Amino acid sequence: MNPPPTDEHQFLQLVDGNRNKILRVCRAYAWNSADQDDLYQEILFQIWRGLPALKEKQFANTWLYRVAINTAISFVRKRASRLDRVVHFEHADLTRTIESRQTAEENPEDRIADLYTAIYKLDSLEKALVTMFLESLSYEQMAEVTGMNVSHVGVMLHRAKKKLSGLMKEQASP
Amino acid sequence: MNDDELKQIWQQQPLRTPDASPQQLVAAMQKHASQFRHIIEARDIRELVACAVVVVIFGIFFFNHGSQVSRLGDLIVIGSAIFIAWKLIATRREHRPAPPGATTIESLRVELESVRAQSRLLGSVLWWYLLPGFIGLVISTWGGLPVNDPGAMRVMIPTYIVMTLVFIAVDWFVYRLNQRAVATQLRPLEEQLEAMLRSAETGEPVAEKHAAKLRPIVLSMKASDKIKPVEFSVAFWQLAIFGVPGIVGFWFFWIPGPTFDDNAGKTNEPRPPAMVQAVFTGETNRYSAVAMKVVERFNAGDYAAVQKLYNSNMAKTFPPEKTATFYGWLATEFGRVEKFNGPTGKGYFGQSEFQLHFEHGELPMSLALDADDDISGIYFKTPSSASAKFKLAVRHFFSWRHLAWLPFFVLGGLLYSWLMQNTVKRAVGISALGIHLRKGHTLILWGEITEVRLFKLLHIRNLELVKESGEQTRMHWTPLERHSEVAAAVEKFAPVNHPIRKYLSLLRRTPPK
Repeated sequence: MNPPPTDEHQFLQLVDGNRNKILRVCRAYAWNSADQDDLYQEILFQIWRGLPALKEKQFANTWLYRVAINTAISFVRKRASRLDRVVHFEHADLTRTIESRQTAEENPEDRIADLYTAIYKLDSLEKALVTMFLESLSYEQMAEVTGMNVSHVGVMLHRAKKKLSGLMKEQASP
Repeated sequence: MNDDELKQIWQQQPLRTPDASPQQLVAAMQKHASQFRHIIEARDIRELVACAVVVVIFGIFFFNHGSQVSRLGDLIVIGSAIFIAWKLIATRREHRPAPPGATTIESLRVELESVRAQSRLLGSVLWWYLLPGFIGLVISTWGGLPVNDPGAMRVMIPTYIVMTLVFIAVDWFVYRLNQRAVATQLRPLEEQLEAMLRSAETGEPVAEKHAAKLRPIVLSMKASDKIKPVEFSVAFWQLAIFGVPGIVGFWFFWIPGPTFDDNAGKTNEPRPPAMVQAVFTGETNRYSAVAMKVVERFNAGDYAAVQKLYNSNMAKTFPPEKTATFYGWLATEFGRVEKFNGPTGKGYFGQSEFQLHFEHGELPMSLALDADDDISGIYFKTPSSASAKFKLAVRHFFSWRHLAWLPFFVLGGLLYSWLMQNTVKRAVGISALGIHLRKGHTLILWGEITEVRLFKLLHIRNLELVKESGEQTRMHWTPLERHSEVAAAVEKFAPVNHPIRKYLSLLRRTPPK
């Protein structure tokens, strides 16, 4: 049986209200802007597909993260399985990176670039937990998104944050 | 930087606006979602169409093959095509993706099951995909061996051996390709998913080797000003110059079978029960009279009238349509009969033989009559002299029936060229960073390549770029790209003593003096 059609108004409301969160997830999982756009569209498509099945609207926030994180993990894996022997490359990104490295003073753009570079080196699960942590989700919400138990979330997040901190220090050192 | 500061810079970061707005996406997705099931079904249709093509081609073979054994082989091929389509569709339907909104663990489990299923499918490709079709093809080919014709056997056996070896080589190649996909893509993916699932369920860290990550580019500041790759593109026509003759070449391999295995030169009739073993002088008149009638009716193009000269057994075995096809072929190949001599002696199975002089050659015709002067056997022997045989074979080889297949092979060559242009990881650029593939979207850094191996297949040359981990990326490096600019780019950008440099000679149009 076909699912009921998606309510366009509800969809736009949900996406508009969470647009930046989705974009940040995309940026965490996809290195270049073309991949980010692809992932953004894929997440929106999955939200569109799954929205009719969302019964309890008060859990929309957690549900949205589930869709975004699962889609992103799957997206990375598909890309990786096809292209893990090569490095994604984009002239504009490279130029930006080079220019930011050439600037003597550290600015917020550099710090966010360093944060992303460090996040990029985490595995998909760690990345998911760190992203949700940075979005200020509680352990319980993270557990609902991932299906893990709360104590495991705590342990893994602690470990991921430690790794992230180490990576950022490594980048900051000359 | 503490947690709050991190959250602050994260949540306040400037974000790029995606190219498409949600409203635009809604319009696209409304169409997309309504077509979603159709898209899934379209993938099934692709398998069904491939199956239908095989069924139609081997269905035609089934109705054209004279040998029952060949027909059995055709049926096996048809059966295996249907089985393959069913298996692919059934496996796909069995493993649907997790619904949107599933937890990460649920999603990983579903994906793991799907990858395991794919892995099992490709791992066992020999048994369900390759072997049944191979058996069918071999039976279909060897079943057509003209066992009653030692001359044709001498030609056909080596041809069939070559064809069988080609089948084996193609199947071996497909098998290796699938096993390689399992080993290099599916097994690592399976292990990675298992590791992630275990980690999510137990809280244990994921082993580094399983972590799916796309590595950031580590830039050399020196290389930053040389980042623009020297680009090389291969036009479609350049590929087609090689691709089309290559595929048309298969036509030449394929045609000898229908040329030498053609049953049109004889009626394959069973030895008639009322066979005349010898022709006595007194009987020559009645044989000559019937032979004259055959020739007159043949020259008039009235093949139904020729068929009326057959006795009941012959008429039953060779109804008017079949007879018309046979004599039509004879007229096309040799033209009208200008004169005939005979009886000249004993012919096929001791039958009375006449020498027919056609517009395009000569053929002996053996004739057997029953007591009522009806034809109980007729046989046209193909030329016995080497030059006549050669002329016949050439004319037959380039007959319209064979030439009619040529456009399909040309189209096949164009399709092959198109696939080559669109699917291979052709080097489209070389820079100080490395080799850029896939229209420059991806890059293999020079430092990542620890070994380069050459892999040649016909005119196609590939370079296997091997990394320290043993992972290989195959890069097509055809003769079309063997020009001095590519060589210059490699010489300019590849690090000193880089393994790719030993293949520079392949890139030079003329050998160095």
